[in-house]
Amino acid sequence: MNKEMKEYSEREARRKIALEILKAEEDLVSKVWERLLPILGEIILSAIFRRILRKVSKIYPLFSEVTVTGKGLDFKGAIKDHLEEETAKEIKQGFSLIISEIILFLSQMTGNILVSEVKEVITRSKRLEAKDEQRED
Amino acid sequence: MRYTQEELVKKIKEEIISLYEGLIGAIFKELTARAGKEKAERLFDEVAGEIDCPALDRTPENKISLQGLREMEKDRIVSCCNGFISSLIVRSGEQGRGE
Repeated sequence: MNKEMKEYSEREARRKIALEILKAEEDLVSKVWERLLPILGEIILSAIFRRILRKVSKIYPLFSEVTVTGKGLDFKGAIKDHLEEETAKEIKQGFSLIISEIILFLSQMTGNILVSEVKEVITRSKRLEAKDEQRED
Repeated sequence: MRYTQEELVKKIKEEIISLYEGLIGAIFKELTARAGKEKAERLFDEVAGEIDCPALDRTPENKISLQGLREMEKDRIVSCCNGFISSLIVRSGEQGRGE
């Protein structure tokens, strides 16, 4: 059959749509991983992603078979095997949650780091003030 | 129902744009909750200005509109939006500063 004349059944179309969405999401997660890797390092980043996956898998069991590798998340054989059964909607929702969790984790982590740095600076300057006051006495 | 190749390509593009509208909307909501609306809007505008994707606009209701992407090829849509989102995520870590 001429490629231009080819027609797809509802089921074939659903599978192709879900596959394209999965590819787009995989690319996004890879980009995020690449951007964060030099900042956080592989060990910390892997731990963060594993923790997020555990949380997401409780709501979307489809993601329980996804693994964390040195390059990010590996979806081979996991979600791809279930594209005919699972809807693109569940894949979208699961990834949306992964992205939200990454943002939440990052803002909490940097917030905590910077708050403790600020506290240290405040403590040091208070000690210096106290020393200055003693000298004046 | 059956789809021609052309109809399928159109449907895939619509689904992908819907995906990114959902993702970017959720990110905006999250950032607004953490840093306030003004900072979230500023961050979005800064990142949109930095990446090579003139199709990312904000509507008067302050939602991200991806309608301009409909004219682009699917792969370009994916590349554009993934670049935008990954930059947003990394920059959003800075929103935790001093909160």
